[in-house]
Amino acid sequence: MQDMDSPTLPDGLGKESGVSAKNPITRVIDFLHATVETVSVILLFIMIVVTVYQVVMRGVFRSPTSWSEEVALLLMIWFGYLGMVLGIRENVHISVEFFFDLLPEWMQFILDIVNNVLLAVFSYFMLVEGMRLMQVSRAQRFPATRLNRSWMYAVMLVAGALMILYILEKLAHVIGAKILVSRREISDE
Amino acid sequence: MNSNSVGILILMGSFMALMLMKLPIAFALGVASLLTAWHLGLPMLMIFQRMVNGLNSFTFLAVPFFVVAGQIMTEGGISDRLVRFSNVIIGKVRGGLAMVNVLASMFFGGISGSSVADVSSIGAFLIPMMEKKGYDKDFAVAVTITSSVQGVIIPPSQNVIYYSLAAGGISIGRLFLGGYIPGIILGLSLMVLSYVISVIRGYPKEESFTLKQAAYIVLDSMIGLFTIVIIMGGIIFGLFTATESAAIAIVYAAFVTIFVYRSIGPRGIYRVLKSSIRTLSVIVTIIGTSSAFAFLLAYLRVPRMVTEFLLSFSSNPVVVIILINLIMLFLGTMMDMGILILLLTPILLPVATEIGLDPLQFGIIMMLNLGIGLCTPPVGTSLFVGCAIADLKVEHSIKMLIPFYIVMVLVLILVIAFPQLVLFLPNLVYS
Repeated sequence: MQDMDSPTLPDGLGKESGVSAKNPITRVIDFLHATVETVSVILLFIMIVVTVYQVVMRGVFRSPTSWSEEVALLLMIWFGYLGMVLGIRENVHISVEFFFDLLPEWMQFILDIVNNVLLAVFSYFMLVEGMRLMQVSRAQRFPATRLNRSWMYAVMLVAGALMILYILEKLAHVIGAKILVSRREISDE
Repeated sequence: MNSNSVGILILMGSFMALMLMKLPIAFALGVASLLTAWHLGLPMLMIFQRMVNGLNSFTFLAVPFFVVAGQIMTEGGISDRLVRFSNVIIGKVRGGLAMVNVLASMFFGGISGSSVADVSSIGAFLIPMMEKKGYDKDFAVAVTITSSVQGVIIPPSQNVIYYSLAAGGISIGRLFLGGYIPGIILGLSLMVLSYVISVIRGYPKEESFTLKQAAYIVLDSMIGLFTIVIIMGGIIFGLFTATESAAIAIVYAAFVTIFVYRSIGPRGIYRVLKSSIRTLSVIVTIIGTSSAFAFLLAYLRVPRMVTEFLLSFSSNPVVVIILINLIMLFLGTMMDMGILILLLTPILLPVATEIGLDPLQFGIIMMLNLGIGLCTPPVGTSLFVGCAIADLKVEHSIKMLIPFYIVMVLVLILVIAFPQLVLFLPNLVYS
């Protein structure tokens, strides 16, 4: 996974677009998105601070911490799943475009919908199984921090729900754009 | 057909199909895993638990940290410093800027570890500069992208961390050290080739610097290059783990760029974290879903089958090594490097150890193979970025790239034939 260079929002997502001006729903999702982004930055920052703290305590003060790795890893899991969510809305996840681009437009349209439905199903399972994982691990605790282990899986609920929301938004845009185009074609004739 | 092979068919088939449908690869891995689990009657819960476990590794934490450290250095202007530094060292040779390009990539690889970052930062700086001095576009692109492959071999390399994870925890320190000699050999070979081409085509030399200028440039970039000393020194002397060294490198990089280079302020650090998240969101998702996928591969005993299949071709290790390398080279042209490392390591490493390759050596061999893939169509991230910077059509870059491919394959053969090139440094330090 090489770096993706400064990805931009796809047409019609988040920004003003030809399909629809910013409606209240888009605004709410924009706000959620910005929140997830800020939280991710904060999580990343804390992970760095905790790890540096661990080195300093062990190296300089000769008193190793037991909780730091646990905390850093828990944050990493949260960071990872929130990152997955951010990637969905900003379309930065790597995909193979070569064959897709060879297809006629109507097949691309159908595949677009199929892909988004598949992503939604995946997110739905993430939500449901995340809930179950939380229940299963409810009685377990992390050895050092004594935190409940279900915190590890709680992020799956957040991520699953947000991803479903984002995907519905995308589907609405894909279908909305299609309707608009066909209407224009009809009025042109 | 027993249920096991049906399972493999579903896993592989649905992954391929979903990927070609343009479902993001990370999710193609996840959905294929879910389908297969459903077919095998495994609880879905297991798949998601694996996805969480993939991220639950202190070693993996090094990846986001190295990405952030590299990004701070890049935004803080390390690339033009490295270019000037390399210019002082080697600019006066015929084809000076090509040499500078290779050398700067060698240093940059020691800080960033991502070859695409190398192409987009050093290339953006050097390709226009080379054009202005009369170098041909295709040559400028070829040198830039092939030298960026050093970045995946010279430590710290994210890709090496993926390999360590996928191989079940091979020492990162040993892997890092093992990359130095092959990386430097690759760099020197590319320099020799560039020199020969430059003499044939009559490319210019660079002007020399006054002593004062040179001293300033060297000192200025040494401060940035000290990151390498922190990372490698810390790991080699056992002061800290790879993850910890990466975190310390972030602190140092932030300090240097804010207070010494004064190229970004504390606000800039926030911006860097934000832009790193774009890169990381892709990486973490793939790490998660690919560990679920790899779990199913192991569950269906695919590695065992592939080993038996490859060994049934020939019991001659040389033939098997050639086969493995051809597989990696071929797939490397088709797919992204990181994903391939995560998927191929569990499958091919058992074969490699079976025929007597050291896992360290195999790791570097894999990096080289897949690194060559970064510079080839149809899927060559470095190639595309390089061509985009130079505004050159990919088709027009290939002819010039052929001698570079040949040199890279020769270096690969060298590393396969002489295990000591990889093993010497790790054995020296960790004996």
